[in-house]
This record gives sequence, structure tokens and C-alpha cells, in this order.
Amino acid sequence: MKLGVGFVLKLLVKVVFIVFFFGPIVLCAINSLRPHWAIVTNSLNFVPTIENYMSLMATGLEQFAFGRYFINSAIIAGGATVFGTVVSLPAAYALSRLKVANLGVFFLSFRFLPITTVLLPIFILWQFLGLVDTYQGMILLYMIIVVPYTVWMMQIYFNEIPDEIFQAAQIDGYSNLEILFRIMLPACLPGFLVTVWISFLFCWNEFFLALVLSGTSAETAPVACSFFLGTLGIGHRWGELSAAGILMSIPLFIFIAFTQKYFVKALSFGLVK
Amino acid sequence: MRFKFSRDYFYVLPALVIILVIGLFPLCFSIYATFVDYSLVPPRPITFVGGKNYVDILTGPFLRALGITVSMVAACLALEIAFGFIGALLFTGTSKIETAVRTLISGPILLSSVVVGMLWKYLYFPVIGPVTLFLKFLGVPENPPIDTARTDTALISIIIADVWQWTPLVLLIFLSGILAIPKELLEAAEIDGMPSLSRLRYIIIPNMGGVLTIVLLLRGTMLFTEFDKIFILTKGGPGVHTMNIVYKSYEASFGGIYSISDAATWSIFVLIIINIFVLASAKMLARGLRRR
Amino acid sequence: MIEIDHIHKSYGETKALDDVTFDIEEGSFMCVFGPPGAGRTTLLKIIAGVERPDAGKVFCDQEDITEKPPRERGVAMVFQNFALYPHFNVYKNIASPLLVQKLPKEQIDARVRRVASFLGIEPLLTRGVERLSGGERQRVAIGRALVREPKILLLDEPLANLDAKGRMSMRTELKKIQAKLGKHIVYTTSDPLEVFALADRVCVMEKGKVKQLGTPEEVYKGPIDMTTAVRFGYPAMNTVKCRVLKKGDGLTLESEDFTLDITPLQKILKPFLSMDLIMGLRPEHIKLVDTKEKTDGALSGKIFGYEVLGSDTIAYVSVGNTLIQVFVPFIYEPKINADVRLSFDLDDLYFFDSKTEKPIR
Repeated sequence: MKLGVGFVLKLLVKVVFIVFFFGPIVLCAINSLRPHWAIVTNSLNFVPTIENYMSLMATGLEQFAFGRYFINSAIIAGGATVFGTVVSLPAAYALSRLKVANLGVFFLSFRFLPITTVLLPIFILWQFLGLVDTYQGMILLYMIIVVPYTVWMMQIYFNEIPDEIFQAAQIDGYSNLEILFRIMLPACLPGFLVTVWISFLFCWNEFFLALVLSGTSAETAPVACSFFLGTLGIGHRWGELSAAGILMSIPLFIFIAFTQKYFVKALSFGLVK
Repeated sequence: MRFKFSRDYFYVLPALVIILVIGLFPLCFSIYATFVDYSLVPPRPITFVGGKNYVDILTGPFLRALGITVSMVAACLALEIAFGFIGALLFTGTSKIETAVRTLISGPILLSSVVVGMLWKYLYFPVIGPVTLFLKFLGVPENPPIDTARTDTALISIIIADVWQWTPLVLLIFLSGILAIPKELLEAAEIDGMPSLSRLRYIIIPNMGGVLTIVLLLRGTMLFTEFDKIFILTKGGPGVHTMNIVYKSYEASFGGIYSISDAATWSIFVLIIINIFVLASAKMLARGLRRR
Repeated sequence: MIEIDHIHKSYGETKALDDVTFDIEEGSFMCVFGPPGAGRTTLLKIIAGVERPDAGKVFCDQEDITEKPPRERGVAMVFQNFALYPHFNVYKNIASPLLVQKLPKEQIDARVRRVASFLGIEPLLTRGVERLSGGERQRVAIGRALVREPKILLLDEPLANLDAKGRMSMRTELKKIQAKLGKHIVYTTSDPLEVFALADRVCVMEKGKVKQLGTPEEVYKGPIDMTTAVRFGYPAMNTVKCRVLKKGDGLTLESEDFTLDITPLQKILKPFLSMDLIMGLRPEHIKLVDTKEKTDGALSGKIFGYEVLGSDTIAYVSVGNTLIQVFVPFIYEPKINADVRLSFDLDDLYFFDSKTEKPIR
């Protein structure tokens, strides 16, 4: 290993990268364990404590009650992902293998649809249907995020499976639904799992829609986080904020544990085709 | 295209219905709303106004908002592409350590924009924010050096936060592009004695066209609709200094003005701009690829 | 019996099948022979039901099955690239058609094991598909087709993706199980050796059209045109441009590089005097003889090269500028440029019209 100037320079830049991108996350983790007074006085002289987490975990109607929001997010993001995926799979299968018109482009165009354009009309419609600030309302709403993306991605994955496997399954006697769930889906399982996870991610992290369309009962975690910034007349609660941030990121760290390779492929894939 | 109605269409039906109800129908309603005066405060009857909404906004706050939007998108794209590409070149290894390091620096991608916003609000905070302390250590005079409420640094604060959040994604995409180059090409060049900078220039960069398109389309469309971080960091302020077009749409609806037609008009502008951007990027890169 | 009745099929601009008509009798082994692009795979897929023809019908035992979905046709197909389910192990792949029918587990198990042992792959049953060799995968694919005891068995160039050794051993295997394979068998290939080894009848196709139907013998001895004659033989038949001229009382054949006395063939060739013809001679009909022997049909030449293949050799002999391939049924390693004499039976000669490429006899 040459220890020339080039090598040292590269190492330096790499370190900067790591510090810049990973540092703040570490900081967040540390802060979540710092008592409030220590953060505010910028003191490093403290005993790590979980009081921030405890304060968040109250699920009653007290100030933070983050636990409740966390559960809301889980239900809404989970629900939208599950229902959205269930609806999308047959559609993707039909577009890929059955004799239906080429609606793939139609579905894709909605992937780029800015949420703002549908926000207000849906709000009005939801008000009319009594769906504002309800689980059903939020889940239904988030499906407009999940469905276009999932249909498009799964169609691509299904197209990649060689024709002959599909034909062999037909000859073997499987019905369409059996082919979908017993042959095609298992054959692209990694891609499918990543697609599901990314759908969940989008819903879990989504803020704008939730801000507008959820009130006090169906509030999601991202919206709740915004409360920590000086509203409620309490001043910035950095400790709780950091703890909330860490909690919100748990599902995502689990995801990272699985795969990095598939992740990029899945996100950028739709555009290569 | 003849429609042979078969039972197969039932498979597409549920997904189609969802898209029509939650996507297409609201979109049409939005378009309708741009041609009327539909305000909730004070509540008044809906009246047809033709293109008045468009004219009012175009001759009014549009240019400012457009300027803010474009400068934000351009700055973020430029920085993310630059750093992402450099990072991709540096972190190319496939060893366990290198993969682990890449996983670490990919953290920001998975966070909610709200969390990112909160994090950077803390980092920028006067007196106790680490970025503040760091910059003061470097001798930057202002106090705090990056203030989310000061006109000259508000936009910068958002740009930095966005670069932090999304550069790792750009990095990973560029990395996949680099890894797609056949190894033999680079090995042959190395054996022939080509210095690394030339290898970069003549082999790697020309092959980045495809991934560059992906980055532009993916990040570009996300940036044009950026809202969350603005809301958390600056609330569009100071004044209207960081209000991009999407934020204007929010402001027109629940941000105080409560005018559905205004909000709809702003959102249609977003739609138009995104379409222009997508078409322009795709065309430009297609032309670039064809020339080869 | 399967009847293929005036089938037409196009993919966009390309006509894959053009008025294809023929029958397959029950219990017979029918080979569809032709080069790539002849439409063989498309034909099989239409018989299987995974593709629909643009026009025409398919009948099985008098019943019109053209519109029937695959699973109602009692058909099984072995694909050229095997098409094994990647996420099923060998057992599940073979059992797959039975699982669909929801047969009792013991029955499925018994049938799968029977087929597996028959094909010699019983020890592989628990393995995943990725780790099998080409020949093993082929057997699994055949197993999946056999296990349901189909009415119609379709094999699409099943040996094409195997190496030479695998192909030879599988050919012998297939011959062994020929009787057990099913009621109707349709087998596509572009290798004439497979046709000779396995088929009762052969259907020669090119560019979507049926050119000739018959037994392998019939096509071998009486090919419908020169292309078929050349293709239907291994190595390919030698062809030489020539003319038939009168010489004294007899007939000679004159080509660029040699002349041949063909007086015994007078009666047949007299009408074609002075016409441009193409003479055909199969490598396996030529014998290399001592240069001193005088024989009926004979040519002199020099060894240009040779290729030893297993226990046979193909010798390339140059007669002037013409290169003649000779099939030698033993290992032969001559000196390059050595003089040799080629001997053959005049009755084994083929003659084709130079313009139409149709046979004269």
C-alpha cells in the first residue's frame, strides 16, 4: 500500500465523508440519551439516561404521548402498504402476462404526480365522506403513493422472468392466481420484498399529507415530531426530539440490515426502463 | 387498439379504481378549481373566473417563488451530483469493511425528512448547535453562522440539510453505474499504463450517462416538490424567502390563506414544471447518448 | 391422432407459420426438422396451447382443441432451456403438475420417485435447481413432463443445450424410453442424427412452411430439394456443379475439376444432356481406397485435412479446387497432401437442377 500523497488525500476525504454523514446520526443517538439540561448547556458531563424515551412513551393524552403516534404510523403505513400491495400485484401480473392493454405507462405517470395536486380535492372529498383524521382515510390516501410505484416495479420484475417458466406453469395446469402467487412472486422474491419495504418507507416518513389530513386521532409520527419544535409553549425539547427521531428510524435500520444492493436497484430501476 | 374485454381485466380493476379515485379525479378537480374562485375564508360561493387565477399568480409572487425553487433545485442537484460522484469513486470496494462503511454513510436516506429537519435545526442552533460551534471555531463571525431565520442563510440551511440527506443515495446510484462498467476495460487501461485521472476521464465518465439520467429524474422531481424540510426549518421564512412553489401551495391552503383555487393553481404550476423538467432531461440525455 | 390443419401464425411482420398441415398418428414419434427460424418452436407452442394461431385448427382425437387452454389438453412440454421453476427443488419441480391436480400425497410421491429412478435422478430429488448440470436439468424437465403421463408430449430441441457428451448419452436414453414416452410425441431438432435415431416420421420445415413429410428413409433417399438433401445428413452432403455430356457411346459428367464416366446412368440422365446440374454425394457413401484399385465411380485427390471425432474421422479431400468431405468410420490420420482415391457407387449419386434445386432423381 503506497503511502503517497494521493492515498492520504483520499483517506482524508473518506474520513470527512464518514464524519459528515454518519456523525449527526451518532449525535442524535447520543442526544436521545442526554438529559435536557445537559443539552441546553452543552455539557458533556452527564450520565446517559432514558428519561427522554420514558417521557415519550406515555400514551395518554399528555403532552408528547409519542407512543400513540408511533402506533398510528405503524397502522397507517402498514395498512396502506398491505392493501396497496395486495391491489397492485394482480394488476402488475395482468400487465405483464395477460392480454390487457398497455396501461403500464398510465400507472407510471402517477408516480411523478406531485402530492399537492391531489391534496386539497381529497381533503374536500374526505370531509364529505367523513374520512378526515381517520385510519381508513389515511390508509386510503397513502395508497396513491403505494399503488403506482408497486404496480410499475412488480411489472418490471415479472417481465424479467423468462416466458417459458410462465408457459410451463400454464401447461402444468396452474390457474392465473396460482401462477401469480406460487410461481411468479417467489421467483422475484428479493425484488418484491424491497419494493414492499420502500413503499412502507415512503408512507412511514411521509409528512405533508399527514399534516393536512390527520388531526388528533390519526396523527402520524412525523407530524408529532413537528410538535417538538417550540409549540406548546415548551421551548425546543431536543432530548425528546432526538429520542423520537431514533425511534422513528428503527424500522429503517432493520431494513438496512438486509440489503443495500437491492435498495438502489429498486429505487432507480423504474427509470432505467 | 381494440379492447377485447376478457376476464383478465378484473385483475387490473382494483388498482385502476384506486388510481382513478385518489389520483385522476382529484387531479381533474384541481384543474377545475384553477378556473374558479373557491375560497374558504371568508366562505363565499364558487364563481367562474376563467384564467384570472393564473394571471394573478404569474404577475404576482410567481417569479419569486420560481426563482427560489430553481435555485434550490439547481444548488442541491449540483452539490449532490458532485459529492455523490466523488464519493462513489472513493467507496468502491466490495470488502466487508467497505460495505459496512457504505451502510453507515447511507443512514440519512432512510430518515424522515421531518427528522432530518429537526436534526439540522439542532445542529444550526445558536450557542449549542454543533455546526454553530464548529463554524465559530473556524472563525465565522456571524452569530449564529447559519441562521434559519436570516435572509442570507435561510436557503443555505435547507440546501445543506438536503445535501446531507440525499447525497448517499446519489452515491449509491453512481456506484451501481461504475460497477456496471466491465472490469476488463479498466484493467486493460491500467495495464496499458493509463493514469487514473485519464481512466476517469475517458472510461468512467462517458459511461455515466445512464445513471446521471436516473439521478436527475429521481432527485429532480423530488426536489421540485420539497416541502417537509422547509416547513421544519424555516416555515418559508424569513418572510417569503424560502417559499418554493409547493410551499406556496400549502400557504394558499392551510397555511393561512385558505383559498382552494389559489392552492390548486400553484399545484398545477408544480405539475407543469415537473413535466417540463422530465421531458427536458430525458431529451437532453437521449441526444447526448445518441451522439455517441 | 393429432391433426394440424392449415395453421397460420405471424408475429408482427414475420410469418412464423404459413399454412402448416400434417398429422401425427397415435403411438408415433414425429420429428419436426429444420433450421432455426423455421417455426418449430411456434408450432409446438400452438399445439401446447400457450400460443393461439391466427388461423387454422388443431384437432386431437377428432376434437377441436384450438381454443382450449393448455391444462385441458393433456399436453406436456419439455422446453429448450428447461424452464425449471427456480425456487422449487427437483422434487417439487417434477411433482408440480401433480400438485396442481391436488392428488393424494402418497400417490404423488410414488409417481415422482418412479419417474426419478427411471431417469436416474433419484439422488438429486432434494437438491435446488441452480446446482444441477445441464444434463441433470434436462432430465428434471423430462421428468416433469413424464410424471403426468400426458396424451401429447412435446420436446423442443431438448438436447440443444447440452454438450456433445451429454447429447450422445441423452440420445441413447431417449431411445430407451421412447416406448414409454406417451401417446403422441412431437420432437423438434435441427440435428439429423437425432431424427435417424428416434423418429418414425419426420416433417421438414423451413421459413414457416412444411416442405416434406415422410419417414426418415424417404427424406434421406428422396429429399424434396437440395437444401433438404444437404441438411438432412451429417456431415453435410457434398455438392458439385457439373454438366452431363455425350462421349462416344456413353455419358460423362464434367465438372470444373474432374470428369466422371457415368454411362450406367444413361437412361436416367439422357434427357438432361448439356444442362447445368448439381451433383450430390454424401460423405458416408464414399470410401477411401488404394490408389491402384480401379473402381466404377472414382475420383483422385489429395488429402487437404482431417478431423477426428470420437471413433470416426471426417477427411477433407481436394480434387482440384473442389473439396470433398469423406466420412471414415474409424480413426484415420493420413499425411497431408497424400494421394488418395475416392470410391463410390454411382447409384448413390443425387442430381439436382441447377436453377430450381429440385431433384432429377
